[in-house]
Amino acid sequence: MLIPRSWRHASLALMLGLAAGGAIASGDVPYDIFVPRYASDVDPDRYDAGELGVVLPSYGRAFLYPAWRAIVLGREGLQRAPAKGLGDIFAGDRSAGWTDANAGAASDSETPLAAWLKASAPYAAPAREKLTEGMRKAADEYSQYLVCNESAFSFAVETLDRLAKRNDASPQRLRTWVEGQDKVFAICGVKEERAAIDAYPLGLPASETSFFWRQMRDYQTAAAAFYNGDFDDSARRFEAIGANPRSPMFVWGAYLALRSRARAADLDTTPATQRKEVDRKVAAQSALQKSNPTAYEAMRQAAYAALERETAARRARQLADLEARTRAILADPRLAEIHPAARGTLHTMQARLAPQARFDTLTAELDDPGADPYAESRFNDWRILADTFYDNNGVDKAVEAQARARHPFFDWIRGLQVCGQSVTVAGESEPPKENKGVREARERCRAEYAHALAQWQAAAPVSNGPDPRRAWLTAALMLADTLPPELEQAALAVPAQAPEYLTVRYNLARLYRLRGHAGQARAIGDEQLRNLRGEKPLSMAARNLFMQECFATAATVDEALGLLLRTPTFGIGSAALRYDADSPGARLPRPAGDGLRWLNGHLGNAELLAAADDQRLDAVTRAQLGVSAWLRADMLGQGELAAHAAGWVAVHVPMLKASAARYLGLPTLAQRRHALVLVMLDYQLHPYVDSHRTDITAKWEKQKDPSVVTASMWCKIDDDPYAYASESGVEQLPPALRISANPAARDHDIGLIKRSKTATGYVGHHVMAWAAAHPKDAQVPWLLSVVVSSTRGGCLDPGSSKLSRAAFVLLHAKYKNSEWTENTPYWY
Amino acid sequence: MRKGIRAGAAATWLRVLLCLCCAYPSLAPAATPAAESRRIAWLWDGAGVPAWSAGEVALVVRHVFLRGDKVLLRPRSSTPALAPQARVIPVVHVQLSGGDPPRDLAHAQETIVTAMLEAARMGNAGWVQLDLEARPSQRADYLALVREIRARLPAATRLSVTALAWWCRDRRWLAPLAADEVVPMYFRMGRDSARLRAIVAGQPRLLAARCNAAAGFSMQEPFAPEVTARYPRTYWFDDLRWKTGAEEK
Repeated sequence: MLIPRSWRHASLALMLGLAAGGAIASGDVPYDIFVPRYASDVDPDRYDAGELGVVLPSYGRAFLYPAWRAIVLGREGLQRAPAKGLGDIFAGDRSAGWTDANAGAASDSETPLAAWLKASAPYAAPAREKLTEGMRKAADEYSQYLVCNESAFSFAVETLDRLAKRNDASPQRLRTWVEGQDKVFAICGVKEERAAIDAYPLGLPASETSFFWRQMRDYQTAAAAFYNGDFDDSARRFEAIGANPRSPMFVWGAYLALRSRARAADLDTTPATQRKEVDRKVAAQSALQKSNPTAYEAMRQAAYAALERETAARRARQLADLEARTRAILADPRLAEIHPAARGTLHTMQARLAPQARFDTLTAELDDPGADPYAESRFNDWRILADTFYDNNGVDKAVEAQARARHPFFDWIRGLQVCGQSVTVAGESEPPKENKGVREARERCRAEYAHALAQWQAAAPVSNGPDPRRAWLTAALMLADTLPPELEQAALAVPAQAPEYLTVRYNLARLYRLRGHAGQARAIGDEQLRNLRGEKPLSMAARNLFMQECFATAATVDEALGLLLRTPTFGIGSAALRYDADSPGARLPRPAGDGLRWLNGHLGNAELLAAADDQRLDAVTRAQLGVSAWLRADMLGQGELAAHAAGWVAVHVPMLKASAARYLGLPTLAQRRHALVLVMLDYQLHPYVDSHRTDITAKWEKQKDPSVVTASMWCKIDDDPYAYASESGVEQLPPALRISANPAARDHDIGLIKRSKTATGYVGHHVMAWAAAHPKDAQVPWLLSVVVSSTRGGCLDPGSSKLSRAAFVLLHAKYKNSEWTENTPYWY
Repeated sequence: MRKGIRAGAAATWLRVLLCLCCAYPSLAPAATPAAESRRIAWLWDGAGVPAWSAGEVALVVRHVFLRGDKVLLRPRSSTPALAPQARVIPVVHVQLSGGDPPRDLAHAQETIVTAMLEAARMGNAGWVQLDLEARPSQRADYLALVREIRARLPAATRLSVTALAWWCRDRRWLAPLAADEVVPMYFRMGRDSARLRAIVAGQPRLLAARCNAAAGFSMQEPFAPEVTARYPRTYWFDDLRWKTGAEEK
């Protein structure tokens, strides 16, 4: 069937299959699992109602506009002018435009296409033709669209259910209807337009005298023409349905004729063809370009200007036709049911055919915070057009400046985005690598802060009604790297029920920390963590941000350990922006980058072991701490501590229990070290804590195939927080926490561990020494082979080639009959 | 060539060296500055076109997402305004779920090959690119996939594949790779980043010769110009999708 269930929300996004969170969902940008940088994790309905959590300047416009509206209106204003629609914008994006390549295959049991096949199976022919979902090229040649969206299959299932309940629904009639619908859906899998015309479900035989069933067939034929890209035909057929008030599909006739003309205009290839022709003609004038560049340029400009005029005129004609059709529908009270959809389709096409005019109209409409921005998909269409005008194709600075001067909400959003998308807030201690672009971005950011501050200072206080001053105060705090007294006083005066409250409090804590007032920062953080506790707080991202601020100002190791674990959050309310959000372990609490940096780079070995006993930490982190302490102590020759750590591991890490016990049973440090090297290789252990979580237990897996084992478990052990996180370089972190209960011991341990070799170098040199001392050890040939293959790539120390050659030569000289010698033909 | 040798024998060293030079590509001559490096911007959905790449772009036209047994597809949803006669290299991006990774690539091979063939028909630069970061356990499947794509592409269409940087230090990945161009991505290199950056910048001879013809860089992790200038073709990624502040280079 053609009619989507969600027709009431016909919008630019639905029409085009655009995905609001597409870039995020596809994984093509780094994703901070603790604090989503582009979208709020607050439930969309609560966000619309003014529970904003901590708003970040890096948010997309989809979140910044509702934030602006909520802040300007305040809680009372929002109650007077409630609006709810953010959830709907993202409801269509939860699958972010993905389709299952398996749809329609025998093994498919989940997709709407599979549901259709199942529901219709009792009425389908035994040798039913295979149905698939196909994509066709859109008019611009590089994007594509899904021929039949999934709701078409769902609607067909519902329709079949209704038909089967009719008194006159004989098995033969249902079989005929299903056969016709299968013919419609067969076109969904045709990737090029214009399937064979005889594939349409054409008229019913004369023996079928029921007007109802004949009309249902006519509707199928029209739908087939639509999916076939034959829009003149489908428009005619739908118009005929819409001209007959007795038709069961009468209500849809005029609307689907409008949709036919809309899709025809949307997929119109004539402008692209004409453009290619002009390109060809201009290119053919290369001789003129050389002989008379001025004349060539004039010719070129005239050719493209004429093309622009012709395209604009063509689009104006198409739009006029659509507007006339929509007016006719809206004037007919019998079609009230489809009035919203018709208006939506027209607005969509206004955006497609005259985007600048539509964008200007929408921008002006959004100026009024008291109006419902979601009505008729107004805000969603604006947001998509804004992507086009302000992100995708470069920015016309003059147009942007004019828009900012005219539209306060746009000025507010744009100022935040200049900062949020370009560079971390100036003054933070973890700036991106310095280059000209970063410097300029920081300057732009500072200019936006000054602008926000000036706007806040210049705006007159409002006692009743929308108050832009509050939005500018919030923006100034979000962009600030210092806290002038007047800003501080105003921030402290923001009431707890204000939508911007958490954003203001977070930035106050951040700015107090930057000022060096750890106590004030901590007090704010603690207060908000009390408010945001529980399994499902308003915003896990907000909680993680406050925890980060508290962690950065922790005064003791114990305090820091209590602030270590953060819970990942993956999207908008309960919806997930990432496909792997529901995978095992995805939402398990774990240390974030700030914690990893501290644990791995700023604690002594004894402190690591002590931390492993902290019951507030999760099992994986505790196990990794114990193993790290064991490995580090052994590597640094701290025999007693290594034994303590091994004892701890034997008790708390079941997988390593036997290995740790064996280690403890050996008499000498050298033997223990060798035993530990073997355990490291077997289980690929590393002396650091990371943030990978696939299970609630620390389950190191023993390597099953010794031929693939390499000593590549670690590179350099340092305090680079991104070296241990699951996705590097995404989190924005405050300065490193450096507290330790025993700084002298810490500095000693960390100094040595930072100077230690990579896993390849450490294991390699140990193996060479061990082989010299124990040449008859049966494992030596394998170990030498591991050393050689480890030097093939990855993290290597200077002189790794020498190590490789030495291991290779020893292997081939002393153990030439070993299978490992045969398997090690080269050194590196 | 695979026989053992005795330590200390001069003849042995010679054999080892000969063996290495012929068998292991990492000791091939280092990349030298290209006469004219061609810079191409990778354009993901929603990206603009930086002015310096107006003549040639690498356009992601199809996303394939592999999650467990699922093979999901998503087309490009919009196209940026391209200059007349811009050369377009279509790119198929295959994403592997981190949380629920596919067991293998074989079950998705036909879908990916079909996507590549369709993408190739969209392009006008004579190239099509596969962007797939296969895992070590998927190496055999990946190599088979690339072989299949190459076999089914028209002979005149050249096949480019992106590569994880460390593949350039491992002949098992590169030697059997049936691609016409390998584009190692020298960014977001994770734990190996510092070491690999040092190798790329200062010891390129340690990288396989097949990694010398092209390279991928990120605006957010810049190298010195003399490093990027070594490569005849460079592809550029921008976290900010070529928005404000990202066009400097």
